[in-house]
Amino acid sequence: METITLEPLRWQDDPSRITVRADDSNVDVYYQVTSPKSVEAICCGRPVEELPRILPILAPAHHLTAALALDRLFQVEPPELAQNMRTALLQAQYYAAHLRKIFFLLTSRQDPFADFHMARRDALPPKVTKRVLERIMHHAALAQEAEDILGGRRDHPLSAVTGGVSRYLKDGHYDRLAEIGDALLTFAQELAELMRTEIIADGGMLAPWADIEIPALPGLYLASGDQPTLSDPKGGAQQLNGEQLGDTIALQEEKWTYQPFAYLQSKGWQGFEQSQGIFHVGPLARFNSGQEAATPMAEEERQRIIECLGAPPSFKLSAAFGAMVVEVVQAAELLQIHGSKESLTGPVLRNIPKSRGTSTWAALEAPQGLMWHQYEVDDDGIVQSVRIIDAHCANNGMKCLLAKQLVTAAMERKLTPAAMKERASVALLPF
Amino acid sequence: MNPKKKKVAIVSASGCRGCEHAILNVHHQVQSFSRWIDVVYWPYLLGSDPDELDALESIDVCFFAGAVTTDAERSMAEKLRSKSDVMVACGACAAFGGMPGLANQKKNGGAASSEDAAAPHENDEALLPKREHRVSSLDQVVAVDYVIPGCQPTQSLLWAGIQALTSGPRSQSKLSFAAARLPSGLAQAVTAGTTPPKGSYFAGDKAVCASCSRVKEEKKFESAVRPYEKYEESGRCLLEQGLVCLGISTREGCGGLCTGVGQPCRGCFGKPEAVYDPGAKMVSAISSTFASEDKTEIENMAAVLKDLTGTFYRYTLATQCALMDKE
Amino acid sequence: MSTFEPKIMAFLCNWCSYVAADAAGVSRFTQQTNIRVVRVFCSGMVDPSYVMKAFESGADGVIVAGCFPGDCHYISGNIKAMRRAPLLSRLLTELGVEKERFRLEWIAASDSVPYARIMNEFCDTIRKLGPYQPPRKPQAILPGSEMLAGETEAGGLQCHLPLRGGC
Repeated sequence: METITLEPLRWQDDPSRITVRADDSNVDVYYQVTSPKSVEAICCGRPVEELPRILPILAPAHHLTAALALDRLFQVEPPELAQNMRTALLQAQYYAAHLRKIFFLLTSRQDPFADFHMARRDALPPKVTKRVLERIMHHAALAQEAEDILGGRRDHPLSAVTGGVSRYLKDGHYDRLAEIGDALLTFAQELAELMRTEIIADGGMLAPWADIEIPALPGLYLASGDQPTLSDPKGGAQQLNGEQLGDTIALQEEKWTYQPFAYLQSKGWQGFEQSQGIFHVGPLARFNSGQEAATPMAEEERQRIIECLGAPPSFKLSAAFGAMVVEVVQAAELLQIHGSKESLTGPVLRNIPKSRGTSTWAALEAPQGLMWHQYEVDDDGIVQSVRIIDAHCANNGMKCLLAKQLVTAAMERKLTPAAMKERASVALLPF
Repeated sequence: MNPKKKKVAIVSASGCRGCEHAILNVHHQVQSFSRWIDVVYWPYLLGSDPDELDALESIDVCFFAGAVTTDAERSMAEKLRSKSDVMVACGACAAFGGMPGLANQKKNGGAASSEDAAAPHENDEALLPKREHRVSSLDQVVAVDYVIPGCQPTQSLLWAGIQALTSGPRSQSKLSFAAARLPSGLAQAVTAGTTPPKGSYFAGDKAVCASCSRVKEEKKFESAVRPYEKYEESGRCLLEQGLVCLGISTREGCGGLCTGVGQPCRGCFGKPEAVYDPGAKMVSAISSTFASEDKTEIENMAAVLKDLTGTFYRYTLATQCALMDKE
Repeated sequence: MSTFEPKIMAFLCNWCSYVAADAAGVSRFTQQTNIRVVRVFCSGMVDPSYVMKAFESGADGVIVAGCFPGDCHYISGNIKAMRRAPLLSRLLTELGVEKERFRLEWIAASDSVPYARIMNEFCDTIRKLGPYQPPRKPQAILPGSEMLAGETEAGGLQCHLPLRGGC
């Protein structure tokens, strides 16, 4: 029995590794998350209004999902100004998150800090110069500055509260947001051009990984109208009940990973390889749903990507990154719309609730994929239970399957563990 | 490898990658790192594997983020400590246990049972790192030289910390940049080209109230409120408005980030030196604002406040609560 | 067989309760010997952190005794103590210190008989409770405290998902 450990997996939010156990007849591949997150222990017992400040430890967009859940729990609707601010914040999060992943992809063959003059010339694709990398980081930082302005703080935002947002922006903020919005949109189009021609296109940077087959699993996303929808790669889509999503989707724990698996309860769980109930979330799922982009330039870009790759659904890495490119353009456009001075000015910041329920839910399409929250609280508003579905658990099955296929193929080709680890890291990067 | 460059490691245990993202985006300048820093070990960004760590002879500065929750993380912390000249606890999780530390309220630090975490399966499936019985901060596992607190650390303090600890004494511009952002004791050490005293926090010495921009009038209110019940745009101290704001028991350095945005402080910089226990301090602070002399009224006001432990020790339960286990 | 003898901290205010304690001693009332007295000038001087520190240092019980409201030598010092008591008591219970272990009493200077009685009762109460041990998790839920009902045997809350792992 041979054991190979591919550790750590670069760029993964969760500390994770792939452990391979191979003997003559069988190859077992485990994608393992090696650190626990005690979400229930942290959240249960807290006043429910604190959850938007606690849950960003999972991902920044949880802040907004929690705020939506609170709006519903307290039966208040945020004023338009607040809704715009929250939407604008989400777009800034999309932009920063996707740009970070694109930066990781472009620097995947090298150490991004290595002295550029000494670095391998062939490590970067043509036209991706150090200047380009700097511009990507610069615009990611601008998006994060927008997150700071709109959310109060990047990565662990503050401003979304029950019934609205916590403060008005200052005068200088509006101008700065307008500047940032323009810069982000211009760069988004530049980046889209570069990605399309040099990275995603046939023969581009992703060519060595073109043979990687992402498992063709159903995709879960929020269709316009806010209802979670499950698309079948063979065609057709099924609308699910948002409020009862926790009954439709169950979580399974396995002893060899700290991350549970989300799966469709109706299909039962027979291990990640046999289960029919595994699905995935994220940019690729959204792209494969075939729905139009929400804004004109993004839709044009989507058409260009489709021309380049073929019509969705597609289960190649190029499609996963192509999806991100479209969303970057869309995020920039939406940020201009919802982050404009008119959108963020208004008489009222937040509406004060008059009552409080005992249970609530919310769904949000976050950069990494659909997230869904459900809370139950007692009569004092203290959290009794928390259920969360997000990209971590929803993509866990997909990542395990992908790891298994990839490693099995790599072993047949007799790749070294280092080469296997590199391939696995890149393949898992979009998820 | 240029011998003049400092060798730096950046590592996360259990956390959210927020601190590593904070470093990645520091002042748009992360790429300029390569001019004076050799990043020799950064699993998140470079995929550096454990063998590379074993092969390293020494590390100049290690930035360690995240709380220690498994035996593997403990070993990693110990190994990094043995190889590093300077160990920096970066972020509230490494510094105080952070929000993961709240799991210490539960038996076995949140694990369903202490044997459950890595029971070898009949088929000998791959073993997970075993979960410890509690969540620990970095300094509960190894000796820590400096702390950059915060969830996440603010860009200016993080950058000041990185500059101060990795620049040579001749990099005057970097050192003065750092010194400009640090409190006077640290700034003096930094401009003199010496290393700051061990155990220093890259943050201020007083409480957040000292740097909060809100107006403090008289602290007397008739009733405590929960944050969704009301708000004032008066720019007035949040505690005076009846909200629970932990600024009084929290170290300054963030410049009143949360209160500036209308949100009460939740203590992510940990307690200042002068405070013995943040919970006790907050009990004292909040109680002193009750404007009543009647026992029943006072009890009713107190009853509005919920979950004292989870609020007063949000980021520090693992380390700074006087009545919780520290090991 | 050794029986447990509690260690009890008593913060007594100089003008009322300490005088009562002194008088009780001079009058030779029978008192249990578990009380360690710290004389403070006013019950309002007793910061919550002193109480916590007492427990952290090994006290099994802490009692703060001041003048009756209206009689405080410093006018309203005892009111300050009264203001702190509910929150302090609640914080202590949340952290696993049983409610009975901390008490705030009013004892006038002439109340030497009540002083002895209160202290003896307190010693008995603490002896029955047993030694205070800093817990790893808060103790069983006490009625009236703000903790959740539904802590299970295994120490977990009745949340939907098992405690191990996240979402």
